Amino acid sequence: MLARYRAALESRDINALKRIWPALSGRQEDAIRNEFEHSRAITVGLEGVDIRPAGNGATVTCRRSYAVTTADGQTLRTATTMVMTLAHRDSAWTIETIRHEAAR
Amino acid sequence: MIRRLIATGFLIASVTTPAAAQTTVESRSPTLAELLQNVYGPHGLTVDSEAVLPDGSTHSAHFNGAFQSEFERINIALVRQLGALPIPSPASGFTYAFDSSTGTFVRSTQSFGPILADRAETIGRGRFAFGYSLQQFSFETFDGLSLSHIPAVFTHDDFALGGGRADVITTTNAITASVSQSAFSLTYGATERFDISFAVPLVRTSLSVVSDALIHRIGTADNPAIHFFRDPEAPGTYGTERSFIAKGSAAGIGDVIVRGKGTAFKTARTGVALGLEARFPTGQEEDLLGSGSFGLKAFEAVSATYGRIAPHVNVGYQWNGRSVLAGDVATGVKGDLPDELSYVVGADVGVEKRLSIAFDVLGRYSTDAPRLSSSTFKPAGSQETFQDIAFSVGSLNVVTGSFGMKANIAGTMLVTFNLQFKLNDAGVRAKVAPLIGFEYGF
Repeated sequence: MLARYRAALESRDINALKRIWPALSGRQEDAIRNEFEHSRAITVGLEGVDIRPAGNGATVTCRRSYAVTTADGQTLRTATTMVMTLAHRDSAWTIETIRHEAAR
Repeated sequence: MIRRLIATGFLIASVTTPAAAQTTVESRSPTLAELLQNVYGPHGLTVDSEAVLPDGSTHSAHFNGAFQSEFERINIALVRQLGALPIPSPASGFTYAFDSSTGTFVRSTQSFGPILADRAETIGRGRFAFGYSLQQFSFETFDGLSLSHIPAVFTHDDFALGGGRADVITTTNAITASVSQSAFSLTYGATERFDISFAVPLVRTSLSVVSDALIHRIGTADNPAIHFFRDPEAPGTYGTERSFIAKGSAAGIGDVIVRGKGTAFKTARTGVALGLEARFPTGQEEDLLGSGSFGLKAFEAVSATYGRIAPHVNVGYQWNGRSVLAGDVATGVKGDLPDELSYVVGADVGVEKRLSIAFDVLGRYSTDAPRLSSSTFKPAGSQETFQDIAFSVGSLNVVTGSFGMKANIAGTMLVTFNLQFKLNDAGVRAKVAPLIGFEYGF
């Protein structure tokens, strides 16, 4: 799942992202779509992955390093602690929510 | 360098209008800066005379006035406009901040930055911004007096002695002055917080004057042959009117500007930048294409962002060297070009994703600038008074308003439209000065 998430971001493919994150909508979808449209490249690093099963899903916590090269050539970097909640239905995993916190 | 002055060399040609007995004389000047000085020809305002002096020579009457001797101070005022070269604010509005609620970067300022001012942001390491702007100034007033109607009185040499010397010549002068300036600029982000900019202006200056002169025979009422304008088409008549015309234009490279700007302090919402700007006298000052002196300007830019609104304040002080425009172009003697304090208060506002507007109040203050005022002249022994002008040196606070917009038409391409409009009457002013330009970041 994390590999598909990273691949969707790095290929700037909103459809691929929505396949694994069907709940993505509204402002968050608009922001990601806008970023994909106005960037030349995105690089994602996921480290220190901690997976905790919970009911029919799981909570994944990791450090996400994120670099975006904008259309005007600026390279923007950030590192956050990403908290991803996953659901397991019909033998498939999907992302329910993603939350970012200041990196610890 | 493209440079062509229409008028070269001294040449006087006369065109007459027989019925009205008014002659028209067109004079030419070796340089644009001397055009006003030479409007009456190389010998100044002289009239014809048939009076014979005791030594047997013909009286050559020369009249003097502030218009001819001092009005070239307008040159300084015209050239000062060239110093207000807008280098597009190279941060170009494309600044970003991380939004943790969406996990994405979003534009931290919704506007594309100021147009005639600076903000604290720099362009970013390794980035370039290219800009072009075209400004047009058609000057209409000088210290509130209309350039299309400047009255000026000329008095005879030694007029205080009275007699025939009490005659005066009044002139009504119409001056047309315009400057158009194309400026190319390139900014490079040397480090994340320091930019270097280079700007090359191309300037075209046009200047013309029509001076309608009228002889008032206060001391020679009974003998028109002492002071008159000869009309070759009407021999034997003693005309009292003559029109003098001078015009010219020049085009070429202006004063090149090199500038460094560094962000000294920055928070998420506010920033302070300090900068140094050097102006090199690459423009031909004799043709009013440049200032003729080296200039150095230290400036500070403070800006902030509150949602869509980004206010900014700039303060700068420009030191100027010596230039013939402040001295005497004809003799090459240089004088001190006035230093200047400049200030800008304004804001830029993001209207929507691809459009922002900017409005500013721009001020330029100097303590020893040429000032023009109207006055009256009353010759001794005459009941008549005549409208005149007087020059002085004093403080000058030129305040201009500015309103414009930046549109993001594609990628990082911004198109700029702006209008400057005068908010007071100080200095040589255009009512409205339009600007069009674009900038591109890469």
